Amino acid sequence: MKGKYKRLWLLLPLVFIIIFGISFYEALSIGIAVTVSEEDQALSKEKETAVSLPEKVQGQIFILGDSLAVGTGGTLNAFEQAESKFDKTFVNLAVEGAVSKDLLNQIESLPLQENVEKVYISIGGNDLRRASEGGRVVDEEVLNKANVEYRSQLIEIINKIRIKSPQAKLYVLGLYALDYTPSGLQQQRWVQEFNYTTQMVLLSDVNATFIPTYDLFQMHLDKILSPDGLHPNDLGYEMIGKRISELITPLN
Amino acid sequence: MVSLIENEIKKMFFKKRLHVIFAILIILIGLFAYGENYTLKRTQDEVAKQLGIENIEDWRSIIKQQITDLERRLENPYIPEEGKSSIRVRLEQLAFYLEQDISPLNASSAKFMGRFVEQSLFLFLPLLIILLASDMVSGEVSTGTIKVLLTQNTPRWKILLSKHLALLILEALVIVMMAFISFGISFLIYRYTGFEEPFITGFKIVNEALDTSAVKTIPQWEYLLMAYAIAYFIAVVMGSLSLMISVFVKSTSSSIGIMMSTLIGGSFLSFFIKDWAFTRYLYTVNLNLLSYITGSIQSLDGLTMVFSVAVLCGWILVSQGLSYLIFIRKDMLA
Repeated sequence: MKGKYKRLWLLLPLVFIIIFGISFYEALSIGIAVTVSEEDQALSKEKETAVSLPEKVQGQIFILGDSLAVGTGGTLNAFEQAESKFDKTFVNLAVEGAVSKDLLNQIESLPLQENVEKVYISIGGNDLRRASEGGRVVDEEVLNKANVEYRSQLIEIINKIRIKSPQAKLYVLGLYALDYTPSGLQQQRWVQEFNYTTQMVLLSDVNATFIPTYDLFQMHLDKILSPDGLHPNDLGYEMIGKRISELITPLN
Repeated sequence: MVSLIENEIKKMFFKKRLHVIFAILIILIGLFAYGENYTLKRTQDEVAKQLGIENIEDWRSIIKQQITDLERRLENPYIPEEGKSSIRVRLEQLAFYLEQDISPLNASSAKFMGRFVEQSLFLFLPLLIILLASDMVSGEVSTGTIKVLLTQNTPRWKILLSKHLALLILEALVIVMMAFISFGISFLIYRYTGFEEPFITGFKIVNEALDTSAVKTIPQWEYLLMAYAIAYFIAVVMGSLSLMISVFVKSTSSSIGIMMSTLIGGSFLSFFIKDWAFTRYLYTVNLNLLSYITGSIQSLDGLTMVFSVAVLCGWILVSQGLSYLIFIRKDMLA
């Protein structure tokens, strides 16, 4: 009797050790899989230099900026919707959450060429949100500073685009507020401040247009905002698209 | 041999060493759990702030939206195949949460257990094992009980071997203790196991950019098994080293002191890995094996998991060899 029990307690830790052994082997295989080989390094360097974007094509339209240019919250962003009637090629390099500084950094590496027809930009929203912590805090100094920085960055962005594509038509999307009730007064005020900045910057450029959205959302906020309370939904993008259409469709 | 091993284990229980380790684990894991709870609340608030929403209760619609965005990104012709694999993995993850109706921001026992292993692997666990093993020989020399062992008919190497084997079993016990205590405490707090939840692994850093070609999802329990297996391996390394020092030195405190200084001193030297080739072969810098699995950007230049495991195995062999050599020759009966 005693003899049997003697071996038993030895068995249990042995079982654990075997389980550990098997799992360790699996961990090692993952460790091997993530090992960066010389091949990987060489391949990635190759990819960095190759830019897989379309060659010179007439009528190219660049879409840049933040999540509104990506089309987050809906099926298709407003810019492509507005241009859908025409047969155009789009190069959409927008990044969610981008602030004006991110866009400025991106411009250098963009393959903008002389024959770019249009550049649509949606930017500034995240600058404002970061400075106001999602619209909840209003610190005059912080927001002022953000506004000033946004202005100088926007000027730089336009300048850099112009160097590469002097003839392209620029469209910059305006901001809308997320709260049009009296309690959101400060937020509304700052949205308008940023919009004013954008418009003033665009004044000096004959081929640049500001696309207002403030009034659209003021009238229909609850119907055109997506469930995250931040981005437009399908209907929202449709309405912005219609507004852009009005601006770009030639009148007879 | 089995009776020798049994004897060694009984001695350990007698010394109440395991009881002390048990108590330390309970206190530390308890504190860790308390801290985690604090952090969780703060993380949830921050995420809500970032998303600009009132609360994170409505995670379902946010997930649905993220899924739509990701699916659209998959259709973008400008993203290379490798980038798409990470999008697919993320989609899998999100789809899982939606199907199982679990909020991705939740706290679970599985996540807690994993995080505890990650944090304790390179310092706290080694310290525990040093505590466990450091006086297996030196302690007996100072109390004189070693003479009782040595004057029996058993050859010296068998005696040392029984200690090593007993240590292997005790180390497994410590790891299992750690697992059960962290499970117990976290389950008390979170009431949710979360073992089936997905865990993503397989991240590579190539030229300072994230390479997601090898990325895949595994269930949390699988990750935990791997984490504990790695922890056991580390325990075995530390045990082997501690036992060797214990053979060299006569007093327990020197034994513990020496081991601790190598452990802590070694982590300072890890600063020089890039420049001083010699530092790569120190055991301390290779302890954090789990970081290769979690993809934390800890992997310093030139260190791969295979290399670290090989170095550590080297240390095990050397320490084993030296401990036998010295133990057999040393004069401990004086």
